[in-house]
Amino acid sequence: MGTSHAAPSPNTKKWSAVIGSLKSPERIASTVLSATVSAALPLVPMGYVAAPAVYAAYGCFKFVTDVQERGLQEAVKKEAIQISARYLVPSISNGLWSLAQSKLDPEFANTPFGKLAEVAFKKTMNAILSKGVQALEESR
Amino acid sequence: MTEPNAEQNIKEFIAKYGKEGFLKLFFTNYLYELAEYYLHSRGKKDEDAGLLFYVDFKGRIYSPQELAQFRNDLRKACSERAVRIVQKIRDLGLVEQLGEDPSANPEVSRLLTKSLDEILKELALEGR
Repeated sequence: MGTSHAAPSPNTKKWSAVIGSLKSPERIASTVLSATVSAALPLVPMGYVAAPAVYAAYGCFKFVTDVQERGLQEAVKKEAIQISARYLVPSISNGLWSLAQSKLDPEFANTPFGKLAEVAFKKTMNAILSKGVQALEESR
Repeated sequence: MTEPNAEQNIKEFIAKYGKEGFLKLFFTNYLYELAEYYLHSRGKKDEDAGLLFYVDFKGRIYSPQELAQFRNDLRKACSERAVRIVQKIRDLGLVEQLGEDPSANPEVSRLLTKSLDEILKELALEGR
């Protein structure tokens, strides 16, 4: 099932609750998520989730302000983001993450949690740029 | 997608949902990625989350439709959690501070990181 490159599961009591929720005859997503968050977050070292989130938020907020004040074309120029006409949206998201990552301590960026933040940031910006208000409405 | 379309989308999104809209979507996506990461981890026989994600308690493989529904439900649950995270960020008055360059002000960055860590820890405790 494609788990050969997967990370090993945590060996904790809380992780047993995750396995229990997955094995339940009526698998309920919110129960699985609660158990997973409860088991996973305490294992993440201090700052490894929050620091990438702080830089991601700043990168987005700054870009949005620039777009509102100068327009997209000027905002992209200002940050020297290389955009591709064919892949406009992902190229902007990728450029914005590169800027955020360049300021972020590599201790946080070059970890699995930094990678998760990167994927989450790019998905977020891709959705906002390509779908507008629908991006948030679809995620509910 | 053209530049004017992308510009219109981003402007409409911020006009309707503000900066908090970005945070809700970002934390929804982050929690979802975190859950998928751990739910595809490998464990001992009978306790392999990466296998149990695809196979039910009787050993039956979930259909693509069942998996898609589960992922959709998981994402909705992440969205509900993200709303609570953003509510706490707002209550602490941190939304505007997140717009300040963290590399230019290490003290603000440290405080934001600490506050976010505490919010996420609370979230983990809520799941017990």
